[in-house]
Amino acid sequence: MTLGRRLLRPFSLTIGLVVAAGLVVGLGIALGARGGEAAGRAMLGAPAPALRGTTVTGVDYRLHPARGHLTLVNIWAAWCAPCRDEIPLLARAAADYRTRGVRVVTIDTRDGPVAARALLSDAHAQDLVAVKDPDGRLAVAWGATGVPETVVVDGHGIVRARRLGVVSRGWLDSQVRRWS
Amino acid sequence: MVMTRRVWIPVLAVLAVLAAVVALVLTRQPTPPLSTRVDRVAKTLRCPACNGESVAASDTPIARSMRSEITLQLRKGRSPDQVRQWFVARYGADIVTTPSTRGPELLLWALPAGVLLAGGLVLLVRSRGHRPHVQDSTDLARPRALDGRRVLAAAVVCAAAGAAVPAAVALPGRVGSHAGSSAPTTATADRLGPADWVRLGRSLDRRGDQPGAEHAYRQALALAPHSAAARTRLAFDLLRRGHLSSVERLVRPVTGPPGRYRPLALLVLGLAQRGRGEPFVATLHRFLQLAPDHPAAPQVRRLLRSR
Amino acid sequence: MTGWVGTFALAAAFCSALACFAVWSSAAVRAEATTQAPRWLCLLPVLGAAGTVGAAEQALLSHDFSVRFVAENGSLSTPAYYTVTSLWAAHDGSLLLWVLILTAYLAVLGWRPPAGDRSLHAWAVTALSAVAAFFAGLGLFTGHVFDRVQPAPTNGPGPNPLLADHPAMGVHPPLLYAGLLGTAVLFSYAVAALVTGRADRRWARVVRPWALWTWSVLTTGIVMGAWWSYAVLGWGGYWAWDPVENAALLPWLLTTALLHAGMVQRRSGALPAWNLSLAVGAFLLAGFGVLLTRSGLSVSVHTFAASGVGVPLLAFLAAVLAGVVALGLMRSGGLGRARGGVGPLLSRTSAILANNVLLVVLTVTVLVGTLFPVLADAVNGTQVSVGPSYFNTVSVPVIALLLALMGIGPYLRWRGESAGSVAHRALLPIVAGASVVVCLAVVAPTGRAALVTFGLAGFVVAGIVRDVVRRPSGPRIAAMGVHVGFVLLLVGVAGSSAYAVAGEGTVTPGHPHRVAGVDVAVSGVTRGRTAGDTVTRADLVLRRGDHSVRLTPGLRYSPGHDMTVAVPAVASRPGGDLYVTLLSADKNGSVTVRVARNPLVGWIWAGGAVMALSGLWSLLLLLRLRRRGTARQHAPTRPMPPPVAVTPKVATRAMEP
Repeated sequence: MTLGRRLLRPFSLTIGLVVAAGLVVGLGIALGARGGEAAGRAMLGAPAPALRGTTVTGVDYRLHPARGHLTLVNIWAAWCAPCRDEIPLLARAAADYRTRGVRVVTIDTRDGPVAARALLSDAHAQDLVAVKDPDGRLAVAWGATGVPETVVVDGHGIVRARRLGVVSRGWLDSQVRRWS
Repeated sequence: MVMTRRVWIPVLAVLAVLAAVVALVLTRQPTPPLSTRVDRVAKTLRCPACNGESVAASDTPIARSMRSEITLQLRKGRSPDQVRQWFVARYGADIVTTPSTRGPELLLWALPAGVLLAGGLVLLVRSRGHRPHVQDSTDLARPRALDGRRVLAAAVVCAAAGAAVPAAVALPGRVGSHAGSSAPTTATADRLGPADWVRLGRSLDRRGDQPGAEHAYRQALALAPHSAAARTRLAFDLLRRGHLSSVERLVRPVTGPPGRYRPLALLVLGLAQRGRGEPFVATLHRFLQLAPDHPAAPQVRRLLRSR
Repeated sequence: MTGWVGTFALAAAFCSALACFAVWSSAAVRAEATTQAPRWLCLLPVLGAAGTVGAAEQALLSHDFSVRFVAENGSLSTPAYYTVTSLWAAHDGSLLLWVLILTAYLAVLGWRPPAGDRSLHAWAVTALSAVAAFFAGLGLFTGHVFDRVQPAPTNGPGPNPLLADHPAMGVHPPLLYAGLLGTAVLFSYAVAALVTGRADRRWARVVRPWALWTWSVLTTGIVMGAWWSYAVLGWGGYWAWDPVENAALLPWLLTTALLHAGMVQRRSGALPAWNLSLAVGAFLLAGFGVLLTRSGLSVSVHTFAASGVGVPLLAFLAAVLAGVVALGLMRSGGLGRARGGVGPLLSRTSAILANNVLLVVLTVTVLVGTLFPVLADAVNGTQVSVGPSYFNTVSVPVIALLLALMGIGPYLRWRGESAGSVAHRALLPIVAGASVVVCLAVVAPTGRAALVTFGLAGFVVAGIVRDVVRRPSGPRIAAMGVHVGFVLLLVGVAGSSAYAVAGEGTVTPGHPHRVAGVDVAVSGVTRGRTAGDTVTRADLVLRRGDHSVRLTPGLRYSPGHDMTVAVPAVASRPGGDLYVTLLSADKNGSVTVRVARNPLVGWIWAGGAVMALSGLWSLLLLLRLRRRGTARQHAPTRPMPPPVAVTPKVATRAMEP
């Protein structure tokens, strides 16, 4: 065997070993460190998209995020059971925050207006702004991966936080305190 | 004549290749219809709420909304790359299923190219060192067999090392206990967990097997006495079978704090109170307030109106 | 009771596999032993595995809900066929099927008298029984099939509705497992060669039937899986480069490489180390595929729910890798190779090696692409998706190169020839391929990649036809049949992706709507119940030109799993498919449908079938030839021919001018 060949064999063996060992270690880490949290870090720090449409009561609505008000945007649907629990909480929060200049706007996504209106009236939340989004494009424009989802937009129109799932009043209060 | 055949076949071949090259260069693919273009873009995007499916393949509502959005944007004249960027701005870089050419993802493009080059080089180099090859194998030095005992010893050592690793991992905590989003039928212990019993009970309920469902809910309750789901569903079952006495005890703790099962618990409690002649109107009103679109709501309203 | 029987049988399989390992390894260590280890010992594990599978099936069929697997996967309303197949619809039961097939291979390997070298065979049986012992132990110690459930429920949720939909469920998983486990036999022979040092021509001879079998069965399994996801599961496509699909493709690629490189080894004994690595690699990748599908590492619609099998499996694969490397290091004197290099560039040997390089490039691509998101997330937390667009971009050029090789490689001389003679032979196929490109560019223009594919396909087929017409011989036809099948499959893939048209639309009753170039009219929506599930079907009439067809796609809701499954309706013609999926149907009868026109899809399934059948035919011819060869060797009168392996390739070479 030439010298070159004699040197090449342990060299290629070593390379192969290192690669294989790296793979095994990586897979081991991957096996152990599973179950990451839901994605949703996109859009944080970026300007909020437009929110324009008709509410479920037939009123034209247009959100101007950068008008100095902190805005909480909630995406919900009447066919989503946890959303139904959340509506009264949002209505109460909207009423409480109005004096502080914080707006609560909702997007009613992939829903029928009749069911949405019925839900709002039974929850005594008729004052809650709910922009219709029948084909779900508005939810997609806001980067929603599911319902309910809440997005916090600060007074400069920048998306600051988002949360997938039912929010608690405590979380809302803390976000309002933090980004006002 | 043989001579002419020798001439015109190569000429024909050269002409044919030239024609093919010209055809390839000049071919202009007709613009595919909008739906195909939408499909092509959708294939390069990942559905954010699915198990790794692409937006083109998934039938979930969010995938359909995304397809509508792609359709509208393409119709407005935006390019596929612009559409993809729009989605990246909203969902992050991992919504696109083609890795970028920067950073560690470059490895994904460099590695195949590298292996191809390396393989080609090896092939070239080794074909250079060719000598007329020997057909008979008798002058090959026959390699000796390894000492079998040493081989077995090495095998046992590897096996022991291999067995030690899972044992070491399993001892401090249970292996395989992880909160998966698609919950496995059981996580850790030897038995079904409370959530599984509840799920079993619900499917038995739907099939009409009430005794079986009650068994399942009781099992869940035994494992998790504070489970709102188990309490409420068991109470519902008992209500339907007329065993009203234990219903209130089971379901009252669920009616207080907000939660998924509060409306159903209130409904069950109200109906049980009515069955026992106790005041029930306030309870049922609270139910209607919380769940106005519940399938039982119209009947409850009728019931309250008829008083 | 059934639980006890099942657990006992599985324990018996495990212990007898260990015993098999112990006895056969001690027989193998005594290298010059004339007595062989007892062959009947290799039959015990498969009997145990059959017992445990039988016990599990009996529990399923008798609806014994006190057995945990039945409580989780059985149901009184599932038909009997799907009750039987529900054994492999969930992880724990499918592991039992896996053990059954593995021990069956052990039985076949150990029972049949060794074709050649005794000690090679003994070490192969030893290695295979170790693998069988591991998987039987995995089933025994991490499986929960036979746990008792107290008190027993009166019914269960049934198997996943996606897996109780179509009879293919009874065929596809067992076939796929049979193919994947065949690599275990190849691996065992590779280990045996490393230990005994017998990695010469005879090793390649012994391994070839197993490689052919593994390859053919694995081809069938993979193509059937693609067909199932297209025609039945309604996922719209047939191949999504999903981690689970890739996991079955990786061993297939290396087995294909082994089949080709094995030809070189059979001829001249060259490339022993390379072929051994291919065999070991194929097995490791198959094991890695099992890891990927069952440990929750990858997110996919295909994966089983995460089970506790991940860490032991990873440890096993690492131990195997370490063991093989140790053996390789112990074998410091090399495995011997024929003197002389590989051969000149224009020889069949080089063509085969180029083929191997390309297949390895594909393997590396698919492996890295599948693993990258997993590793990136684990190491860095970065979220990356690697999807079909990446795999298609990288694999299309490589496959085009493979096609080009396929067009000239099989007709090159082994020892090499001049460029002139190659060109002369390739003229007619070149003309054929080029004319295909020109015709299609004029008649049905499409993307350049597809045109090039069609042209290369013409080139390859013309070469095959020319060769077969000149030199018809059974084994040659069978081998070229595989290439023809592959070309058909690629033409189907290229055609369906280049010319496919798809679209979505809503159709109301009485108002036909044009979707994807097809007029769709809905005449009604029916709702019914089948076996506990609610099925909504839309009655559609589709018209295109003067063809009209009635299709009834549906949506199937399973309350036991709270899951809605789309049931597509497909109208297949040789030229293409009309594929309709029902997306939603509302109360007043209007439906939203997705319509796709997929030309040439049927060629994919036809191509796959031709490949698999040709492979099996090759295997049959080989076995028949060998049996006749041994019979002739035992006939004493004629002088013995020189000890060169009698293989189809040699026979062909003998007929070369």
